[in-house]
This record gives sequence, structure tokens and C-alpha cells, in this order.
Amino acid sequence: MFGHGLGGSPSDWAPLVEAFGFGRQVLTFAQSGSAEADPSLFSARRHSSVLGFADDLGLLCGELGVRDAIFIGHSMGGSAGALAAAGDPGLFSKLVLINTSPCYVDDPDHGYRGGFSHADVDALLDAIVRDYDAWTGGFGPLVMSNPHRPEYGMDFVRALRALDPSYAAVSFRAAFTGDFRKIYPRIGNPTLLLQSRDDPAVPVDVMYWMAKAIPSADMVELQSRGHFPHVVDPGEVIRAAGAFVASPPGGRR
Amino acid sequence: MIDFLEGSLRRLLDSCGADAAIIWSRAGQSSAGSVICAQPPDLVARGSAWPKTGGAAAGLIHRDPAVVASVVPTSLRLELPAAVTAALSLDLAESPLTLLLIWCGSPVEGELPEQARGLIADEIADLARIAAVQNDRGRALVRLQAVADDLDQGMASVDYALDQVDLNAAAARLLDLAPGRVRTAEFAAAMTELEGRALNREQIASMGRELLAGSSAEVDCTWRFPSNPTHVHVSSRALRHGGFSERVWIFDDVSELAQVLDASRAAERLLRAAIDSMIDPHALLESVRDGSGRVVDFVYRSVNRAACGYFESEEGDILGRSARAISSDLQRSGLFDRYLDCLETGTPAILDDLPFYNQSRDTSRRYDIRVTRADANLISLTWRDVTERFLAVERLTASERNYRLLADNSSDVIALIRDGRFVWLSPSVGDVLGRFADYWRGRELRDLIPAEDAATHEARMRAVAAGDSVRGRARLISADGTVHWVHLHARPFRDEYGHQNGVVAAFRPIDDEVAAEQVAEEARRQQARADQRYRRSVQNAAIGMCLVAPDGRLVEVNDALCAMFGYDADTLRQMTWQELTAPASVDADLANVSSILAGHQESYRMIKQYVHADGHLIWAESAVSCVRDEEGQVENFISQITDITATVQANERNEILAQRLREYAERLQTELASAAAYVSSIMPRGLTGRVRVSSRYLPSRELGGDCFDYRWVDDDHLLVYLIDVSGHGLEPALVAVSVHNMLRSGSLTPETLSAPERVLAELNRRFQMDRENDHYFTMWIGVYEASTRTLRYANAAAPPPFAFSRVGDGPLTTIALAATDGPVGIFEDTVFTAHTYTVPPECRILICSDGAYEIAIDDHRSLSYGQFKDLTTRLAATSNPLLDDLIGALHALTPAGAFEDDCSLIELSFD
Repeated sequence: MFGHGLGGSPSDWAPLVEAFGFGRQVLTFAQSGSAEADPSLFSARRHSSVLGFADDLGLLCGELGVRDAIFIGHSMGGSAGALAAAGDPGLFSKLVLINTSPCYVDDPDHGYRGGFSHADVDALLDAIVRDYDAWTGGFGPLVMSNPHRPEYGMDFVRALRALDPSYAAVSFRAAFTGDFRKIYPRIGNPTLLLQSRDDPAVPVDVMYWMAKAIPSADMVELQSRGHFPHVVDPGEVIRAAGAFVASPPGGRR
Repeated sequence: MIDFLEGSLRRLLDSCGADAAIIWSRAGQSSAGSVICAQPPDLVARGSAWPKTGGAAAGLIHRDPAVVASVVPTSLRLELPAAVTAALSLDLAESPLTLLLIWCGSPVEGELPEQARGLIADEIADLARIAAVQNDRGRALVRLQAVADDLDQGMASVDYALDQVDLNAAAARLLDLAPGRVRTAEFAAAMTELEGRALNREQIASMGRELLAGSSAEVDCTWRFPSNPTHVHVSSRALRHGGFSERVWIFDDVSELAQVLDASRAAERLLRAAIDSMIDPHALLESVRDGSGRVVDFVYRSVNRAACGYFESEEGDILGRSARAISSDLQRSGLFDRYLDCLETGTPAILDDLPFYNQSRDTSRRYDIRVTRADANLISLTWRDVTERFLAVERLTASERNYRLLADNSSDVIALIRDGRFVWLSPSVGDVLGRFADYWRGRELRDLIPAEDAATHEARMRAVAAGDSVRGRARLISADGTVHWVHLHARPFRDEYGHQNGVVAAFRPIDDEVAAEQVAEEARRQQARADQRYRRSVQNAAIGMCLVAPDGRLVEVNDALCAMFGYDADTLRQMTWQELTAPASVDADLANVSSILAGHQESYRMIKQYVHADGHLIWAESAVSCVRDEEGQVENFISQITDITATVQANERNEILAQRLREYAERLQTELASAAAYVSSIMPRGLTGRVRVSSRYLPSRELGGDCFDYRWVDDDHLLVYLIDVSGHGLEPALVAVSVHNMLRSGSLTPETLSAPERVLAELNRRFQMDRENDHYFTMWIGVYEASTRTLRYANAAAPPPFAFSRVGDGPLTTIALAATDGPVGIFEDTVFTAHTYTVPPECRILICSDGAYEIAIDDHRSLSYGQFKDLTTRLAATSNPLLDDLIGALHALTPAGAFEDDCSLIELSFD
């Protein structure tokens, strides 16, 4: 089961679906509020927290009768999967969390570096509300990094602009203002954490924190850059996660 | 109500042993419901958003985790003390409400007890419906209060029966009371206090008397204050609904509007004073329209004092009168149309010196008139009597015209000179020397002569004094110091007695004539210099140039031509071009010359041969054009001749080298073909038996580094491998053959050969690229154990083979044996891993080199691995064996029908 992040789409997973899909049933879905999702499923109240997206994930699995799935999620999609797993341990057999963060805001009192100050987050959310088009033009290439491959940045800008700006404002607020650090230690599933270099959204310190917080977690630092390693170098993500995905459900990696 | 409902839910939990109960409403937006009540109460807040879960089977306790997951959201699970073991979701009848019961921790036995069912049906359903309605009303009141508080207007609702007044925030601010609810006495005291500060208390008291007169009175009045807010519009209305009797007060701060109005009135007074103080008349005219909306007249709406003076009437007599009636000349003068144009287009009318009949004075006068549009129906009009100015300008223009006529008729200057001083001059001197005659009279003539002409001047004056007449050019200094050329005619002046009494000099300016002569002279000089430069450039040109007479004689030659032919210039000028031309080139050149002489062409260019003075032949490129006379006959040919002997000889040498290169390339191609044939000869031709193997090796033109082999190493083990060495040419082919020979030679132990990953590791050790001229290779190697139907394989970056199989009559399934490690020969520490594949019955496996699909299918695209996989899968479904059909399909895809790299294909067919 693949869960994309904000500005992502089910088609982002195509190379991973091809690599990991053999002999398995594959489920991709469009997150509420994304360009490909039914707009009536989005609720500004429910989706003002990542918990709303986690609810969607758990209820979707419930309706489809899915249990013990391998969940691969990116960014906020990964975060929603992690929360759903903490609430319902039988939902997933194992988790692969790519560039995922339980909290984007620094907490110096507890030695936690999320990458943003409160002022940074306020400025970012203010820029989204003030002029969404202008903000996407700057944020897209920055988060995608890889300046020598500007087409990735432009694709992401197009994807962000395909979102309803009012939905995007609610979703980004949910992602950047939530703090779920107390819940991550409750994740009982074997978990593989993947984190790329030079990610402007999630510093690698976050992965180190998660590796300590989740009782059964391993981690891999990827060589690819930016927030979307599965898009810019899917081959590296496939190699890094291949053995973990293929290992027997009950065993360690 | 909520307290009752919470109590009922607590009893429900006690009766059925559940750990949590939620009642949520499905009403509202499609993507979220909202929580009505929860037990325990702090589990989830009332009114919070709730995901709309799937349909609930009535009254059954669900234990299947998947079904439980469909009704218990994650956000709730995270608040529960233990893992959820069961849940019941029940839609309450006749309402959009759902009851959710949750059991945590230990397993749950049986179904919902009858007592619990009764509690839900008899009590909880009704209480929940009421709670939901109350929730909705409560939210509506809160929203209404928020809206009222957000208003700029103050609102106060007075309920005399309950002795209470509800104030919104704005009203509370104005009355200096706390927002919310106060007693009527407090409100009345605050109103009295506010009235005490007002400036128009008399008016307000009148409003109060109206209120006392009847309880249903509706009053309003603007209360004025010395400081902000300066104006508050206060209104009061009776409000009756049901049995209640209330009164609503609205307080609207209109200070800003009132201040703007005051400012506007002050500005209007100022404007009126300014207009009245104007010297020129000013009027504001309003359009009069007929039934169709067409403007038929204007009436005066405002006039200043100057306008009253103009009409010799009082303002009251003018206002409202028709413009056409007051000014009978309005239509004839065209002024009415200009008023219309200004009103309709907004373009101001600016009319100067307009003749207009002044009805009041019964005289026609001249006016400057300005018309501008004030608004859609108003124009602003000012005018000024400029009759005196107009007449003055007329007189001035007439005198200038006469003067100019006189001046134009006397272009020559005539002067009488006595004792060297001007006595009289004609007026035209002003045109020539810049000052009128009065200026020059009495001045000495020699002051007008440039110093360098003084001697000539003295000689002329002596000649005239002697009685001669003098004509010629002279120069004079004008009043501004500039020097002018004049044509001078001076002769003695004789009085009526015939005595010489001075000199009469007549002169006219000829500056333009002299300047034209000087320009012509300068042009002649520049032409001479250009001719000189041209002759020098021809003489010094790097290429040979000559001028040739129509009979073939060389008229002019330059140094380069002398050097080219080995003759001096004098000798060449004695020769014809025919004598210098090699016999073989003469006829062709003559044909071109004849064509020019006949007028068919103007120039030509040809490569020909000349004969040097010492007899050797010269290759030259000759460009010939001609100069024709006025009748079109050729005066001369101009030839430019470039020696290209060295170029021609170099081209001949290049042709020889190119021929050698072609021979070398053909030899190399022959060698590559031989090498390809050799590589092909050492590879197997196929196997039959338990595993049928067929293969194809299609070398590219440049020869790649492909090589493969398959053979039974013992009765139970079939070895298969395919190598692709990097690069093209003989070197990679030799590396490939070396690997092939080593694997054939028996230098690897049978144990190593049966373990593909160890074979790769051994080859990686022996064939490092720094020892193999930077060549590395990819390799797929597999060992099939027939007794267990197991294929054990390892892959060093080669394309993953495809396994085709089907179950019974089912569709053909294609699997890519996808696992791969790095290539052989790049890193010494590369680790190779083995993988196994259990071969199903009647399975076929296709192994290939990348040359099979890395082919350009047009100018911009290559076949991708995915497309190759799709193609092979499609073919494998219908073709068995596959290889010839696959090669045919790949050939058909490429524009040239050929492979750019070696293409190797192995097909294994299992029983």
C-alpha cells in the first residue's frame, strides 16, 4: 500500500510498484485534498490535522478488508501511515517511511531538530495564504532540489498548482504544525526509515530521532538529494528497501 | 440535556461492558460528521469533526479487525487505553445519528444484552435527538452573537418584561457599558449621560417626547457631539414577536460622513466666491432634452457677477432662462454645436477670436470662449471680449505685409560713398549685412574689408578715383562679424555738374554661389585623391590585376601580375592575354570574351591555365568584368587573376590520401568481419533434449563485445552465460573471447562453475579494467539443476532475463529475473549474490544482451527496457520458438533495419 505526500500523486509510485508489485496485490490511492481525489471527501475541519489523513487510511483499509499490508509512505503520507499503525497494530505488517517527520518545528528544550522555527512555519503558511501561485513557484524547486534537473522542480510546481489553494492551505498547516512525537514510540511494526540528503523540509536528524523512538526501526541514508528521492532516483529507493520489503513478514530485516 | 445523555451512556456501558460510547451526527457536509456526546466525556470533545465511517449492520458486535477498522477511526484509537477488540455501530432510528460502542483489551463474548438494547431504544435515541437539536441551536445563537459583535453599528435590545438589555460590542463602547446583558436602569442612565454630552439636546429631548407618547413609536435623530464621534445617528424601533415586547436601539456612527458633507459645503462656498471674483464671465449651463433625449437647448443654472455685467441683468433674471433665447446668435455662430459636442464627447472647446453678436449691446464683437463638461448634463462656460486685441493684431499684420513687399523688391544693395564713408544705403543692406541703413551711415567702408583683402580694396578704390569702373568679387564683414562674398560693381558718382563726388557701389551677396563652387572644387580634389588611392591599391594588390583592351592587349598591369607571369610591366604591356594563356584554355576564354563584347553578359569567372615566362604552366582563377562607353561598347576589360596552382596540387594529393584511407577502412572492416566470424564460430549452435536451447549472435558493423555459451557440465547441471564487454572493435571482442576460453578451459573448478556468484567474483578478480585497457563487462550466468528444476543465477548488471510460463490454459505470465549487482571489472570489492528460480513446467527463459533493445526507433527515441519486455511478452504468447520472430520484429522497429550494438539472444525451453 503506497501513500503519497502533499503535492504528490499515486503515479509517483510507478517505478516502485513495478519493482515490488510482482506476486503482490498493490494499492495506491489519492490523499484527500489532492488533485486526483474526490473534492467532497475533503473536510477543512477533519483534515486540519494529520490525524484526519490517518483516519482516512485506517477506514479505507477497513472498507477494503486490508490487514497486514506492507505500507510505503512518503512525507505526510508516511506520517499518516505511522499514526494509523500506532492506532491499529494489525493494519500493517511493516512500514517503509520515506522522508517522513513526526514534527517539523524545532524543540531545543528536548534536543529535537525538526528543521523549522515557529516563525519559519508562520511565514511559510502566511505566504501560502497570501499568494499561493507565487509561493509554489519558489517552494517547488527548493523542495525538489536537484537544480541540474529543473524539470523535477517544474513538475512539482505544476502538481502544487493543480491543488485547490484552500485545501492546500489546510493540508500544509496540518503537516507543518502537528507534533506526534509522543505517538511514534507506540509503533510496534518493523519499520524501515529512508532519508535523502539536502532535504529542505526534513533534516536527517529527524530520521535519527525516529530510529530511536520506534522500537523496531532501521534506517538508510540515501545518496539522492531533495525531498522526493522516490521520484528523482527510484532505483536507489528500490535497492535500499528491496530486502526489507522481500523479507518474511515475521522476521527482522 | 447533555448531562442526561451522558448519564444514559454511562448506564449503557455498565450494562454491556463496553469501554467507550460515541454518538455522532451524519448531518452536514459529506466529508465529516460531528460528535454529539461521548462517554467517557473527555475521550473526544463535543462538536469535533468525525469521519463518516461505512455502513453499520444493525446491532451486531464486530470482532473482525478489518470490520472494526472500518468504524473506529485512528484518531479515536490513539485516545483509548488499550487495543480495540470489538465495536458496534448502530444508526439510531429516525435521526441522522450513529451510536458507536467500543470494547478494548480483552475479547468480548456474545451479543448486546437485551437491557442495553432497551436503554438505547427507549431513552438514548430520544435524548440524543434532543441534544443534537440543542447543539445546533446553541451554535446558531453563538454565531448570531459573533455577527452582532462584528458589526460597526451599535445594537441594543431592550426587554422591559425581563428588565434586561442586550448590547453588542459597538453599543457597549458608545454607552461606556460592559458588552452583553445589563439592567434597563443601567441602560437608561447611560443614555441620559450620552444625551448630556450632545450639542443638540433640544432636538434629542423632542425625540424622547415622541417615545413617551406611544410604546410603538419609531424615532430617529442624529446626535451631535463636540468630539469624536461627532455625529451618531440614533434610531429606535418597537419589536414585537410572540408575547414579548422589546425595543431595539441602533447607534450608527456617521461622523465621517457628516464631516465629509461639512467639508463639501465649505468647498462649495469657497468655489462660489472664487467664481464671483473672476474678471471674465462664467456660467453653468444645463442641457434641455426633448422626448427622445436629444439636447435642444441649455438653461443658465449659475452665473457669476461678470456674467451678470455682460448680460446687463440681475442673477435672478438670468437663472433658468434659455441660452438660445438670451443669445440669438448661438445657433448661427456654430457655438451651440460646440456646446453639444463638448457635452457629448467631453472634449473641451477652445475658441479664439470668435465673432459673436452681443444682443445686449447690439454689436458684433470678438470673443475667446472656453467650454468644458461639468457632468453628464452640465457644461461650464467662460468667455472674454478680445475685440481690441484682435483689431491690434490685424493692423500689425497688415503693416508687416507691406514692409515685406518693399524689402523683397530690392535685393541688391546700393551705396553712395564719399571720403571712404557711407553717405546713403538702400534698405536691403539689412538683408545683406545684418543692420539697417541708419547703422551703416557715416561708417568707413574699409571697416567692412577683411584685413587680408585690404591691398586689393585700396587698389580698387584708386582705380575708381581715377575714373574707372570696377567689377568683381569682394568680401565684406557684416554687422555680426561674419564674412560674406559679394559681387561688386563700383564706379565714380558724378553730380549734376559732372564733377566726381564720391563712389557709387552696387553689390549683391553671392555666398551660395561661392560655396557651391568650393564644394565642387573639393569634390574634384577628393575624386583625384580617390583615383590615386585606387591606382595604388590596384598596383599593390595581392592578386594579379590588369586592364585589357578589347583587342586583347594588356593596357595596365600591377606588380602581383608581373610576379605571377615572370615579366616586367613594360613587357606585359606589349603582350595580349591570348599569348599568356595556355593553348588548351584559349577557346573557352575567347567564348566568354565574345559574349561580353556582344553584350550578352557583363562578367565571368573561370579556372584556366596560363604560361609563365619560364614556360611552366600556372593554374589560375580569372574573374573578368568590363567597362562600357555611353553607347554600350566595351572600352576595357578588368581582369583579376588569382594563382591557385598550390591549391590544385594540394587537392590532387588529398585525393590520393583519401583513396588510401578508403582502402584502409575496407581492410579494417574485413578484419572486423573475420573477428565476428571467429567469435560466432566459437559459440554453441543450440541444444536439444530436456532443455532445448537456441541462440542468435548478430554482431554490429563495429563489432561489440558480446559472447555466450551454454553446455551441460554434468548430467544434471546446465551452465548458461552471456557476456557484454564495454566498447566496440577488436579489443572488447578479444576480452570476451578470453573470458569464454577461460570458462571453457577448465581453469575454474567444478565447484566454482556450479556457483554463479563465485564465477563472477573470480572473473572480477582476474579481469579488472585497469589491466584490460579500461574494458569491463556485464554478465548473466546461471546453472540449471534438472533434478530439482532449480535455476541458480547471478547477474553483473546485465539485462534481467524474462521467464515465460503459464498455468494450464491461463494467460502467459512474464517474470523479469530482476536482481542485479555491479558490472565485472570496475571495483575489486564488488559483491555478487546468487538467486534461485524454480522453473515451472513448459517454462521458457529469454536471455539477451542490451544490444537487443538499445536501438534507436527514430531520431529522438530508443526502445525502453519496458517496451522490450512488452514486445517479447506479446510475441512469446504466440511464437515458440521465439527468437526468429523477435529478431524480425526488432529489425522492423529500426529505421535502418540494423543493430547498433551486438545483439545476442538465448532462449531456454524446459519440458
